[in-house]
Amino acid sequence: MIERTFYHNTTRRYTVAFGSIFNGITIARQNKAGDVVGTIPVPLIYSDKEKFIRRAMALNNVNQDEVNIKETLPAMGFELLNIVYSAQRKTNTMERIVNDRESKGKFMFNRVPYDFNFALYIGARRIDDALRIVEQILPYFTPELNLRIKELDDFPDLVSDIPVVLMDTSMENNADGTFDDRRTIQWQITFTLKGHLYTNVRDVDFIKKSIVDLSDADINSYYEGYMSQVDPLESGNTGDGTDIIDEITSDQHDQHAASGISGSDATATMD
Amino acid sequence: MYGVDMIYMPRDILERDEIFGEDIITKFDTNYMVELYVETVDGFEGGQDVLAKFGLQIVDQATFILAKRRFEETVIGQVRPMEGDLIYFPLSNSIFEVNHVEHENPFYQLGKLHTYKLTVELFTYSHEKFDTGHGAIDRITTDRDARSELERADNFDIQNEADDFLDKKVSTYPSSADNNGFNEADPFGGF
Repeated sequence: MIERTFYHNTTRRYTVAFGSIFNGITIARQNKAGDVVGTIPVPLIYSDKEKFIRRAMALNNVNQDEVNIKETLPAMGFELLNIVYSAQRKTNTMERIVNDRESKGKFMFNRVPYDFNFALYIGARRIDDALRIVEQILPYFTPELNLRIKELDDFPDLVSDIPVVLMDTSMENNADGTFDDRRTIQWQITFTLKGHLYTNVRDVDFIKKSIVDLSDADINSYYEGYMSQVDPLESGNTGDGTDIIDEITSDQHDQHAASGISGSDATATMD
Repeated sequence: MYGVDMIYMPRDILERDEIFGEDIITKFDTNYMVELYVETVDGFEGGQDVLAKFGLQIVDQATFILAKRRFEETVIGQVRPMEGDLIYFPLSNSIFEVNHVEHENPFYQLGKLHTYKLTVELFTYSHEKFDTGHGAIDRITTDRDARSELERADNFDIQNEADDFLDKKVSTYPSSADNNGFNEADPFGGF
């Protein structure tokens, strides 16, 4: 049934848009007097990378001479959890999205609403660092935050307000237990991005010229209606339209003669 | 005692949060060469390298034995090794953090305690200051400074790609928030 090959890059676009919300977060280190003694931009990665790529990205490589440590914190990661159909946002399937900018038009049938669930992970060595990150994020979600996204390259006018809704927050802090393991603080915040998925693009030609052939039309009934509207001009007026009416009238008489209708009949019709 | 020369670095806490009980500003600016015996001779313990949600974790753990008398002779200003102190292991070019100091194992041999047993794990760097005077150690602050960490992460790639399709002028975050003032396109907006 699904025979066409198409891909709109929509999920990747939503993923990047979601990540762009958090990729500029910076925290400050302050002393007790409140003076800022340093600022730390928080790195952000997409968590579900290929393992060998992540191994190669890391500094802890046997061929490198950098000093080996466990990890660097604070840091953030995010990932797409799942995609769920959103029945509440369903609209008419047969509606069309049209791009009429180009000479060759394109259209697609209506987009389909889907919820894209994302998780954001925040790792920190200190509670203070984690809170400085979290408190910069949460106030912007009430509980949603709108992103304005150009969704499809083929449809440049299609710019959508996409709400990103904060769903849940949780904190994990393994401060209890033995001394063998260190404390690690990890926050997880889940979001729902209310997006859409799109079907295949179809070409459509525009109607630029129309030719109406009236040769086979029912002339009698057509002119009957037309002439009844200009009847006052026939009764002695000498306006500009008189000649036209006369001409039409004479044509009509010819037509009527050919079809066997008498002139009196036609006159009666005009009256 | 047979041992390996290592660098011992006491933790100097400059600012401490008394409520949350954690160091806010920490500095490592001294180093002491001490001999430690590696008890885990077959290699490091701990888990394997772990892919966490925000990066790669090298979970190497080890147990070092430190002579009590040698520590007292070498390290100035400390009675005993403390949890949180660091140890640089030159052979593996690694910095370990002391998770636990066991001072009663072995248990009173010949009526006295002779050694400390240190349970250590690779150090989690959180932008502490390093000025130990040991080049291999201090370069951690340049190898892992904030800018380098951003370049290894996805921040710049995400931003570059998002610029192609994200209309920041009307998105509520972060451009309009950064402007922190009147938004001509949305004069009655929230920001």
